[in-house]
Amino acid sequence: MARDKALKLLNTRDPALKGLLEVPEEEYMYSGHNACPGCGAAQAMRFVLKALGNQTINVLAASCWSGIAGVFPYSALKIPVLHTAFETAAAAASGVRASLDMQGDKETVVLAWAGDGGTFDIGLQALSGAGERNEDILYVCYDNEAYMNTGVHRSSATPYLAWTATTPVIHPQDRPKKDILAIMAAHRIPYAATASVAFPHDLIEKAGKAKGIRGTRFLHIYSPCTPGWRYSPELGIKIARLAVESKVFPLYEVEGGERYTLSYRPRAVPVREYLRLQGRFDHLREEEIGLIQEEVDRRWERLLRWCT
Amino acid sequence: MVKGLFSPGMLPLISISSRTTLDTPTGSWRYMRPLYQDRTPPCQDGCPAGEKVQGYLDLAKKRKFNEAWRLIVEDNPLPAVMGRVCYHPCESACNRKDYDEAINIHAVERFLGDSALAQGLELEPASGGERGEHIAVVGSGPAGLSAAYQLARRGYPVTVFEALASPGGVLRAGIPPYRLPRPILDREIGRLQALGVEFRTGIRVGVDLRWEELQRYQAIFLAVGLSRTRPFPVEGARLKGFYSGLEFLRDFNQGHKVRVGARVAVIGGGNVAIDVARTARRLGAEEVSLISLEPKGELPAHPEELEQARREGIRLLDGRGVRRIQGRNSWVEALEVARVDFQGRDPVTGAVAFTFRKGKGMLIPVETVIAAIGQEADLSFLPQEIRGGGWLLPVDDHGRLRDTNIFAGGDVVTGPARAVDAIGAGKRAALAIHSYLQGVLLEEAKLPPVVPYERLNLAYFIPAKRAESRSLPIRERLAGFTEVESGLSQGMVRLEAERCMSCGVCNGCDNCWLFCPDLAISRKARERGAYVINYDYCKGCGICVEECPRTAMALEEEVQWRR
Repeated sequence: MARDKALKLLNTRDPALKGLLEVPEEEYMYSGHNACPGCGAAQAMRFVLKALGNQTINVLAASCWSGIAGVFPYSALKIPVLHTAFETAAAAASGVRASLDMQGDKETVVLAWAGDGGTFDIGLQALSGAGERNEDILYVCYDNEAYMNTGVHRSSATPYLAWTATTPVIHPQDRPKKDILAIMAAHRIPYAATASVAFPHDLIEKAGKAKGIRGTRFLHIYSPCTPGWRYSPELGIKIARLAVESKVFPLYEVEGGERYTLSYRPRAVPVREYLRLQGRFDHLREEEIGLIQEEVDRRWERLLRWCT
Repeated sequence: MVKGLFSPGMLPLISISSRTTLDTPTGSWRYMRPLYQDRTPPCQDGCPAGEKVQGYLDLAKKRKFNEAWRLIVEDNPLPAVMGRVCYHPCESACNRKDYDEAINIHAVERFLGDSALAQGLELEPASGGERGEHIAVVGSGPAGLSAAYQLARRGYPVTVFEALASPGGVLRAGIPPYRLPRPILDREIGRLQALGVEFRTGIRVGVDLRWEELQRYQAIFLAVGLSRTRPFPVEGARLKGFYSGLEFLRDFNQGHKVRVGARVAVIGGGNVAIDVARTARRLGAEEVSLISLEPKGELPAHPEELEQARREGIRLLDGRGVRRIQGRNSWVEALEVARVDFQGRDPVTGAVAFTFRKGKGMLIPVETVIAAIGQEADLSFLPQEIRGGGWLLPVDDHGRLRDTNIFAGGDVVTGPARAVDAIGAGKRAALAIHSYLQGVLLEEAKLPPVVPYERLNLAYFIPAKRAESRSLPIRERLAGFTEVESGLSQGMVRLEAERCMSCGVCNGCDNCWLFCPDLAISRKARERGAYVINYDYCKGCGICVEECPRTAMALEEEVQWRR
């Protein structure tokens, strides 16, 4: 019953249905940045800034993006960027917000930007503190599911049974991926959502919606990584799309920590199709793929229950 | 830059970037180069006339109906006619048929043709001015009309000779009006006259005009089709009440009185046989049987035609042959029909191989028998040294008879084919004649490779039902010769054009621009419908190529470009 009700609530918006939202023309990024060819994190930043506009300050924790943004004296962004330490994105963003507030500037958006390592692991207490205080910041975690910049080391965002440099094939990741959105929802922040670079219209719409909300807003953006996931660079968007279509990474929103809304009805592709495009899953045996499928299905059913 | 941090004489409080990454041209990392490269859509490849189907669907989508029509008439001067009578090989080739249903291309073409007629649009000559060489076209069927048009628009004076009283060939004498209303044909042919094509009707070359008199023309195009009925090799073919399909249609379509009995047997399994059967039904025949040697599924007739015939109550007796026609008082009384083993058909001569099975046949009482078992070329008007000894005219790759100024095309060269094959043959012949007269090398049209269905990125398409035109209820159909198909409305045409996947041709969907992680594709500076790639910064990831829904881009090794 609950499941049927949830399915009814599904928004069947399709990436092919363009025109629902015109992608803003303006760019807030420069070419020539240091991201690898085909980098999902670069796409994520480009889409988010298209929604936020130039009245934005980016507080950037140590991550791939620290390099992408350009080594001194270069900058890849047209907006101010404050580079900060690994664990401090939320704390530094809170400080920037306080300073703006003191100057009477309520307009400027403070964008905290960190990877999965800086969010799920190292920066979690700072993020939790900011969320608990309901700081007026927009926190974006671009999730490439490992510490990619340091050399593909596992994080608590690394998916179950994936290869990384620190979870080699003989001992792949043995814990499920941490549910960061549930953690953020537990803080009862006004807005938290997942998004994917393969669904730019949905992503830009969510970033725009977050911009209009006061308090702590959290965006979890799925962001493929060519060298870390071991795939040919042109496949990034395809993999990100299959992550959504296979329910590995569902697109949804949580408002006020309680109201769950699905953003897209997946086409229910088997996880095998998603996994087989990536070298980090090459070692999986059939029964292990079955385990992953079970876990994905279980989480999906749980999400549907929450969406009622 | 933040104010106050760069006060003169002061060092900033923290290190601040002073330059942008535009200083670092990351294009040097690239070892694969994306580029825009249109390919051939399968519809265009499947059209013997080479219509740029994707192009006119795209224009129709944007409501540019007149421009769309202009694009069609580059390759086919008769859109309203062909949109009705063509068996649309483009739709059989359409990639969308593997996704949901093929685009209803012929209905769009028909709409564009009708819309141009309604607005009185005229054919326009191509640039190049008038030319002096006078060309004779013998036969005014689709091949002759197409060639005459292509030559006339290139500035040549063209005279078309037609044996019947009015031009159109098989379009007029063969195709019944419920498929092609005559005013449509008249007006599209009238447009050729307006362009300057001269029609001399009622002149049978070799009878009313000596072959030698054609020698004063600088080039001759023979498009006489297959005008003679193949003799029916069965006892009883001399009885009253027996007709040949071609003559039956020709007589009816020319307004002669044609009568059929209540029970009619049509012998043959091709499109002409179906035209005959459906016409007989409309002339009042209550029971019409279609007797074909081929078993069901192997009939040469188009499946859609077969289906319409079935709906109109025509009974198909497949895998059967006629042993004899039984007569009484010199009138047809019954047919003896028996099962056969069908062994095949010669695609050129149309000759069939079959054997009767053992056992007793079935006697079908009928008043009228019409045999539509194929036609052959009547080449008797040509001197022996030109016509050769075969069934058809022997021509070279360019449609030319060896060492002459005589060209030929259409059914008289290929054997029985579709009208659209003739349109294409006429177009190619016109190009060959033009090259011959101007003494220039015939440029071979080299099309880029065709995009197969597997090369499309299906994530960007949504299933959508094909728009079908309404067809007349059976009762109204049988009451006369009103057109069966009603065509699509303007709104439906636009929706149908929207369904086009634009295989291999950029239609400005923005995906490449949207997904580029390096902001190296600009869409403000579109060139010829495409975008511009800034190779100073493109790292060659290939996402634009992969995410192009229609394979209008390619990825090539950079080394080739650096040499």
